[in-house]
Amino acid sequence: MLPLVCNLPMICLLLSMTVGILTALVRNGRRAFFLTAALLVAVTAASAAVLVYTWNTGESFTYTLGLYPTPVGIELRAGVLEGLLATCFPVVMLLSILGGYRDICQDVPAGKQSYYFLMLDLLLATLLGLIYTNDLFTAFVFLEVSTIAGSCIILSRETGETILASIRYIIFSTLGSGVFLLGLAILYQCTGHLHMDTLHTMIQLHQRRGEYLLPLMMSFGLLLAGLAFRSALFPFHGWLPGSRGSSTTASSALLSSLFLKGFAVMTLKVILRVFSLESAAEYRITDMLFLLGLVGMVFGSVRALMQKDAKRMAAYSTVAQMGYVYLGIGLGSAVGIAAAVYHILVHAFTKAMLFTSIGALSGTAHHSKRWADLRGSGRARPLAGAAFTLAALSLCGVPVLAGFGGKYVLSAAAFGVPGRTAVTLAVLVVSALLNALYFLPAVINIWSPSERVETVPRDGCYGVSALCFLGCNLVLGVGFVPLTRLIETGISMF
Amino acid sequence: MADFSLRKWLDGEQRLLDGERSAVLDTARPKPPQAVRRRQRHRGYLRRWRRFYAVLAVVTCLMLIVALAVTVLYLPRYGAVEDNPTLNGVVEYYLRRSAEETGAANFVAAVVFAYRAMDTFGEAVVIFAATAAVIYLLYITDRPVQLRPARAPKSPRNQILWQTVRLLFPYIAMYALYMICNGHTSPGGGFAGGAILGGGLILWDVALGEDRRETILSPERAVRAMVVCLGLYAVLKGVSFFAGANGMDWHLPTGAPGHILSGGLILPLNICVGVITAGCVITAYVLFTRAE
Amino acid sequence: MEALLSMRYEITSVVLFSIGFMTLLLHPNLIKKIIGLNIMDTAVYLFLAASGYIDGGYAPVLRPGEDVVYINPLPSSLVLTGIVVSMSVTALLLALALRLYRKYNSLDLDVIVLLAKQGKE
Repeated sequence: MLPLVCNLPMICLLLSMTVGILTALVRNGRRAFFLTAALLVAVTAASAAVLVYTWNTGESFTYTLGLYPTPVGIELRAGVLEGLLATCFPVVMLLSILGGYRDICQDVPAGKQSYYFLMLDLLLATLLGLIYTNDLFTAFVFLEVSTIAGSCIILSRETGETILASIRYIIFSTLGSGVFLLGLAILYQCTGHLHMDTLHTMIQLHQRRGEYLLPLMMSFGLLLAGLAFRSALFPFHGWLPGSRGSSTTASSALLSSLFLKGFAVMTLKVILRVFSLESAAEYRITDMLFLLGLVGMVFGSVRALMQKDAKRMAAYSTVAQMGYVYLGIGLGSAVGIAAAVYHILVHAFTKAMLFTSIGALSGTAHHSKRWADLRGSGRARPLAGAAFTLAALSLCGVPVLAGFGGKYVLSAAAFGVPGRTAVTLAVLVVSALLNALYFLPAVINIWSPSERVETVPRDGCYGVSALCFLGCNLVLGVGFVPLTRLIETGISMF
Repeated sequence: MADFSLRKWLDGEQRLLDGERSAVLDTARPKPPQAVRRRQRHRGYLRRWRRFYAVLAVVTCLMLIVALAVTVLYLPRYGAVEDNPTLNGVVEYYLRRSAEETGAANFVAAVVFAYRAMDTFGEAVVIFAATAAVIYLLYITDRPVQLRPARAPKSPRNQILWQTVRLLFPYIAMYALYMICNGHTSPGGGFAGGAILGGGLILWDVALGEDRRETILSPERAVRAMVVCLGLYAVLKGVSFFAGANGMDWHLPTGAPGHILSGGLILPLNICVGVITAGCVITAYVLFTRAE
Repeated sequence: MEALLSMRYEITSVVLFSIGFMTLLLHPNLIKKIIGLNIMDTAVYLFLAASGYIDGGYAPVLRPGEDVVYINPLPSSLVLTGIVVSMSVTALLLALALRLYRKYNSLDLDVIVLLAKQGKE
């Protein structure tokens, strides 16, 4: 008999899918919202329990799904890192939905709202599945669930633009999962397993014996390429800005801050648990990721500089931030990967805060997201203005805020990798400057006086979410030392 | 124009499409001269970009073919018995022990519904999500959508089709049910049987005449049936996961492999999956043809 | 040459994969893009299914009393899952194509993109 806590990952996963399924029967959008919120609270609490349990015992545990032990059956696996991510992601999701709830009511037709929340529940299930899975094929199935849920979440507001964005997204993501599946098929042919730990052993064995080296390298590349398609790594980011720019606030916030991160976590699993850091370095894959991360950071920022629309700017900034994450992975050291995970958390909280505040600000300008229309909106909604300002400052790397923590940890990690220190630091500085270059005019713009600003009724939901985001941001900005230690512990038992 | 001949090779009707395209672009709206100039510039940019994109895609693709073909040569030989890493203990286990352990004569059904049950549940959720997405896109919009007849009302029913389908439908349904209920003893199972059942329902609906407003299974009812089946699936599998992981020996009697009442949970799960798949197929058909 | 012939299923699936990939990337027509996507997926399933074959193996359904070689059931079950998944994605894509067609009266993505841009002006 296992301790009850060990059942929680499976229960969370099944619960989020079941609640999603049952939401189809709920007609009322408000009730569906409460159901989803309750689910998110429950999942957060359960994941926190898993986190505390694994922290106390000091080791991760596996959970066999059904009677049959691996490698015959399949299993879930949870450690400190999984617990931490599974605790933070539902929190971000809850706060984003709360902050964007008024926009959801306005943008999504009343009859569709329950289906919208259904897709959000399935999105949560995907994230949990990708975090906890210990089997490559299960990951593929969750990848596909996320394709469908994601496309419906993008389509929250129906305009020609969102349908196009959604089609582009599906084409990119099915390409990604097709490539992923091809990699998986090759890997299966030369190892005969799908269970990550067994795969790891088999791959080590093959490498020692010098067998199947080319197929192994190819499948490694294909798996990572598939995940890169999904997580909008620099050359594969084409679908991202359109899909973020035109959908409702909560959708953009969730897709930017969480959706991509599930695949980044999966990338980590493929590198660390299926293959190993050494073989990634040997196959030049870390170099590749490092390079793409660098280019993505600069390219995303430069493109963001050219945008006239607040949401598209934030979307390009996401491309840049994914560059940070892959840069951390590309450093090829455990510290670098811890920095990448830390940046995943930082970006999840900050970008969701930025998007919800843009949504709230645009409420004063007939839901236009153009900078020219947003002029002076901060004065009409001071809280949203303050949240936007702080999120922007955080992304620029001002101390005490989360973004500073992320950049600090990343540069500290860069010092551990002699060949890459200078490049990383230089690009970090350039990227911070570029961030400042496009965020500061935006901040000045929303605070400058303007006659033409509507007054809007108070929005309690948004207030609560903005304050919570702010709190989390400060925690991440101040407490990065204990948090990175937590993450490093998690990676050591990953 | 390497790009042009390649496209011609890929697709015979390109000229027609080009014509349609320029017609749309020219007649869309009368524009002041500077807008026309801007559009021309935009089109020039687009054309150049497309050519670059096409060349890039072809080069990538050729590289992919060569790389994969070389990789394939290093893999174990097709059908190899020796030197084949896929023939390991796991496969041995499935082939030797699954019949006795799960009671299913069909090894694939045992793998799908017992050993890798989580994947299959995820797969059923994918089907449900796709149905929900189709409904989300086509059925509920700003105002409630009415299903409309696919053809004008009072158009005569096609008698040949109707008489044929009336004769055929019972057999199609019976075959589908046979496939669903025998998924654990023979090839087939819930997914294949459900697809056949859905196809049969589509045929029945077409034969009844496309001038009716009502359908044989409305999307609401289909969704309700799917939710019930998925809920049942989740509960059954949740209990079995919980019991299995906690070392409680809980399972339905497995019965003798090859017998219809065998396989423990596999038979009820197959039935659930059959309903889900049939619901997805028929709902997609109804909404594709009838929703405004 | 010998090696190429013996791996013919895998080679075919690689070629099919590239055909699907190219159609998906290059074709402006949405329906053909969807067909390309399906070709690509099918190629991967062919690849997976081929990896499960064993010389002289029978279909993996128990034959009581006979001592025969069965093929590997695991790739078959993976392919089963995969087929269903790609069917669902196809249904979703077709629904999206239908919506776009109703809005713009065209399935050509280039035309649609231009029309969408005009709508924004």
